[in-house]
Amino acid sequence: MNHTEKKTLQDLKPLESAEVESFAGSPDMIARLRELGIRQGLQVSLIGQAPFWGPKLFRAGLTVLALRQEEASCVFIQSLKTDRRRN
Amino acid sequence: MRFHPESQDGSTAELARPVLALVGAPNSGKTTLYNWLTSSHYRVVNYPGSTVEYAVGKAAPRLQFDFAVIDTPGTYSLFPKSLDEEVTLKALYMSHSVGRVTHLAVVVDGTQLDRHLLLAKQAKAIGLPMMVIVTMADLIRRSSVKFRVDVLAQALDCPVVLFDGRMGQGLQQIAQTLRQISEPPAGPDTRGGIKAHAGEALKLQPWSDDQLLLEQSSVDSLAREVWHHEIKGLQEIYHATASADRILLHPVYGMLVFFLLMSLLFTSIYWLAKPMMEGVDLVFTGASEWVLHQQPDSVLFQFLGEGLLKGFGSVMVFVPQIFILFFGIGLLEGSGYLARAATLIDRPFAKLGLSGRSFVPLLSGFACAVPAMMASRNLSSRRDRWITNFIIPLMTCSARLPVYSLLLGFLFFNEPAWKAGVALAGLYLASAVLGALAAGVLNLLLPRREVSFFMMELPLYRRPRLTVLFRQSLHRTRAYILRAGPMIFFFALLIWGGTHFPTGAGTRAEGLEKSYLGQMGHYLTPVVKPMGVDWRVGIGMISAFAAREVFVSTLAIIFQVTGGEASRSEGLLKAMGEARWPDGSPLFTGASVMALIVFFMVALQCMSTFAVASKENSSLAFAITQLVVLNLVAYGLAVGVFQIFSMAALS
Repeated sequence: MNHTEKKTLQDLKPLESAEVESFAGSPDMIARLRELGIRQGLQVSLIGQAPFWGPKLFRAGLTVLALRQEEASCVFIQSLKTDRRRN
Repeated sequence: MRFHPESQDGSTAELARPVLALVGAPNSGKTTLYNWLTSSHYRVVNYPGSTVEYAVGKAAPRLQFDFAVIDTPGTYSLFPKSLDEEVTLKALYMSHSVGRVTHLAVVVDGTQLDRHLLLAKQAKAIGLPMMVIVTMADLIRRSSVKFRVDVLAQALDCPVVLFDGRMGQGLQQIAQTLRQISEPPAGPDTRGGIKAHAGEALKLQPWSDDQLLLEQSSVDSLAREVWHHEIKGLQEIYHATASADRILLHPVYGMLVFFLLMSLLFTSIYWLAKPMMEGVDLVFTGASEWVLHQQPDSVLFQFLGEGLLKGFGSVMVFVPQIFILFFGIGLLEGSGYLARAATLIDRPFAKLGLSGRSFVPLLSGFACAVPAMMASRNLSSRRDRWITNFIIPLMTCSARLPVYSLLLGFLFFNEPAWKAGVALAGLYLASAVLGALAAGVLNLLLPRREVSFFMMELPLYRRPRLTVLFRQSLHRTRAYILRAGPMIFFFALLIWGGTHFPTGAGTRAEGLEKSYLGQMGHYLTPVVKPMGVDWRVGIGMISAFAAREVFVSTLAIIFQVTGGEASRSEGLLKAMGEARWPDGSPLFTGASVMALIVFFMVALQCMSTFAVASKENSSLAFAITQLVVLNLVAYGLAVGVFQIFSMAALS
C-alpha cells in the first residue's frame, strides 16, 4: 500500500485496484453510492469506460458498476499497489 | 426494530389466506419470480397517491396452496430515499384488496449476496414471518460454485429457498415453506399482519452510519461463508460477462452492435408483424361484411358492422406490432443488455441534459408513452424526469403506426414495399432527432438546480427465458388493449352516430355532409385548411385525441360512407385517392399527407398520456404546458410543411 495524496475512483488507472476509504459530495450522492453497494473497505478496480468519455466501469467483486466521472470522484480510495487477482 | 401486534382479535378473518409480499433489489429476479408464482394472472394496481405500480395476484393453482402475492417495486433499502422505495415500504403496511401483508419473501440474487443481504436484514426488522428466496439458482448451481443454504438460513434465522427463474424450479418449495411459516407459531401470533402499526411502521428507524458499516461487514463475511469461500465458479460467470462487455461496450463494436440491435428491433416491428396484421385485417373485414350481409337495412347491424367491427379492426390490426415491441424490449432487459445500452448512451444524453437512465423510458416511448412515463420513475433527478417526460410523447409510439402505415401507404401507393419501410425507419429516426432537439432546448431553458445521477449496476448477462417473456409481453399487450378498448368503443359509437344521423338526405356523401359531425366539422375548415386538409380530416384529428389510432378508424368510417369497398385498408386508400375539394382538386396530395405526418409526429393527441403526465409529475401545469406546446408546434410545423411542399409542387 502506498499513501500519497487523497485519490478518488476517478484517478484509478485501468486494472489498478484500490480500497474505498471515504466519500465526498452531497448527502444524496453519498446515500446513492452506498446503496449501490459501495462502502468503506470495498475493493474496486477500473475495468473500462463507455465510449465518448462516458461512465467508467468498475469491478467490485462480481459486480460491474458504471459511474459517471463526477460520481466516481466522490469516492476516496486508497491505492493497492499490486494488481492482485483477489476477490 | 420489531413490531409486536397489540391486538390478536379480529384479525383471524384475514388469516384465511396468507399474503406474501416480495421485496428485493432491482435486478434481483423478483418480477420473474412473481410471474412464476402467479402464472402471470395478476392485476397491476396503481398505488393511491402516486402512480408507482405494484402487482397483486393469486398463487397459481398448481402450487396447491392458496395465497396472494404482492410484487413491490425494486429497492435497495427499506429506509426510503426515493419514491420507489417509499412505495415499497408503504405497500408492506397498507391494506390491499387481498388484505394486509402477512408474510415477507426477500428476494436476493445468489451472485450478489454481499449487496443484497443487507435488505434481508432490514426486512427482518419489520417482524413479519419471513423467508429468503435466492434467485439465479441456475448460475450458482453451475460449475464449481458451492452455495451453503444452511449457513444462510441459520444466520438470518429464517427459511431459505433456491429459485431458478429460467426454469421455474423451486416454486413448490416456496409454497411449502410459506405453508410452514403460516402454521401458528408457539410464540406471539404475528400472523395478523402489522395492521395495528400502519402509522408507526412507516417510521422504521434507519440505521446510523456506524450501524450500517457494522451490518455490512457482517453481511460480507456471511456472503463469503455461504459461498463457502469458493467463489471461483462465480468468477467464471463474471469473466464471461466481462469479456462480452469488452465487445459490447467497445467504442466501435459496441456502438455498432447497439445500432444493429435497435434497427433489428424496429425492422422486426415492421416486417415480422406485417403478415399477422394482414391476417387480423382479413378477419375483421370478413366479420364486418358478414354482419352487414345479415340485415343490410337494420341500423343496428350497420352500427355493428361499420361502426364497431371496423373501428375495432383498425386498432386490433397493430396489436402484433405492440406485442413484438414489448417482447423485444423484454428480451433486451432480460438479457442484461438494456443497462449496457444506457451506459453507452449516457454521454450523448448528458449533452442534452439527460442521463443514460432516460434511455429505457424513451425506448419504451416507442411502444407507448404511458408505460414510458411510468418507467421514468427511476430517474432520481426531478429535472431529468421532467425533460424525459416532456419528450416521451415525441417518440414514435405504436398508436402512431396505423396512422403512419395508412399515410405512407398513400404516399407509396403501388410502389415496392421497401420504400414505405425505409420511410417508416426515417420517421422513427426523425422522432428521435426531434426528441433530442427538444431535450436540448429544454435543457437550455430550465434552470440547473440538481445534479443528475447515472450510477448503476450492470447485471450479469443471462439467457432470457422465452416462455416467461412471451407471457409477460402477452399480458402487457392485453392490458394495453383493455385500456384502449373502451375509449375506442365510445368514439366508434360517437363517430358512427354522428355521421349517420340525421338520416334522410339524398346520397351518402350528402348525408355525411349534413350529418351532425359534418355540420360540426365545417367550423374546423378555417383551422385545418392551412395544413392542406378539410373538415373530414379535421374530425379525424380531433377524434385522435382519444387515441391516435382512432384517426384511422374515423377516416375509415367517414370515407366508408362515401366509398364502400371490400377490403378496409385498400378501400380507405382508394377513398382517400378519390376524395376531392369542392373545386374538384384532390384532397390528399403529397404535401397534405406529409403535413399530416408531421402533425402526428409532434402533436400530443392522447388523453391517457395527458392524464399520466399530470399524475407522474404531480403537476397539472406540466401536463397542460406539454399539451399546448406540443400541439401548437405540431400545427405550426404542419402548416409550414404543407405551404412549402405545395409551393414546391407548383414551381
